[in-house]
Amino acid sequence: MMLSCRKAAELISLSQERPLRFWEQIRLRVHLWMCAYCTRYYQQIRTMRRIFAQFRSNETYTERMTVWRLSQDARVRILRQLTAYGSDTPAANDRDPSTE
Amino acid sequence: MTDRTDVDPSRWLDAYGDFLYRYALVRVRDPRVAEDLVQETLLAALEGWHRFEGRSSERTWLVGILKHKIVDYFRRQANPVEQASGEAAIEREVFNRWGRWKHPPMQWPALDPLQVLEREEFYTVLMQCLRAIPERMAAVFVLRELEGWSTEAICKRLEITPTNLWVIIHRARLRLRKCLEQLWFQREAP
Repeated sequence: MMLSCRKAAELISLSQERPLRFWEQIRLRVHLWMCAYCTRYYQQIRTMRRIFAQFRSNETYTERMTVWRLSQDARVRILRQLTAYGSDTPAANDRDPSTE
Repeated sequence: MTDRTDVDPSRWLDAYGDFLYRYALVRVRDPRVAEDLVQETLLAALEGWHRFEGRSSERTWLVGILKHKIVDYFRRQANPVEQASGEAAIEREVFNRWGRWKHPPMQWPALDPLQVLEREEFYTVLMQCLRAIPERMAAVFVLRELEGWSTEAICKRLEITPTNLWVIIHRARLRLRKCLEQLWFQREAP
């Protein structure tokens, strides 16, 4: 029974989560042997996983996302909360727009 | 609690605020939520300062707290019933009714895939693609690929079955691959 690309893509993803069972493995191999698109898909899924593995293993990539930084508003709001924690008076509603 | 005096949370905010924000933002994808998580993290750090033993760097310690806050957020967000239909649509987007590719994967330029992480613009694209996947799917994907959790750990924490997780992560990969191809790999001439 011939596997569809839709089923093959499912097995490709599954193979990254658990070892495929014997027949799953065989059917996927046969499909990949005949289907250039799914072979490409398989390689691309693995490429993406390598990129993410590299990303999470090294925090310098997080530092590199310099397009994003805490806004001035957020800083003020957070600092107010932190200071309020130190003194024993609870901070007023930190979302009150009139105080910003 | 005795050494409150040598803690200066405003210094934490200056030194690590942006880092924590970026770490949170790429995972929760919503700037407002990311800001709140940074705030919760610093408050928790202030409260638990006496437990910090200096065995790791301050930043590593703060990131550890933030990771917990992010997972808590994912748990609060997860609403399996509402989301399943939107997730299933992804397969219809990608495959026709005979199960063939509607738009087959294209050839990506043969560059070292790790080079993409050196490019700042890549993160903008990645964020855009992560924003385009449904909430629960993103939660599973982030824990699996950006946090590196095992299948078992994710199932336990988000209270889903392994079969469920496999379907969710498969659809997340379908969607994300397509988006990254359109917005990045197709435009990156080698």
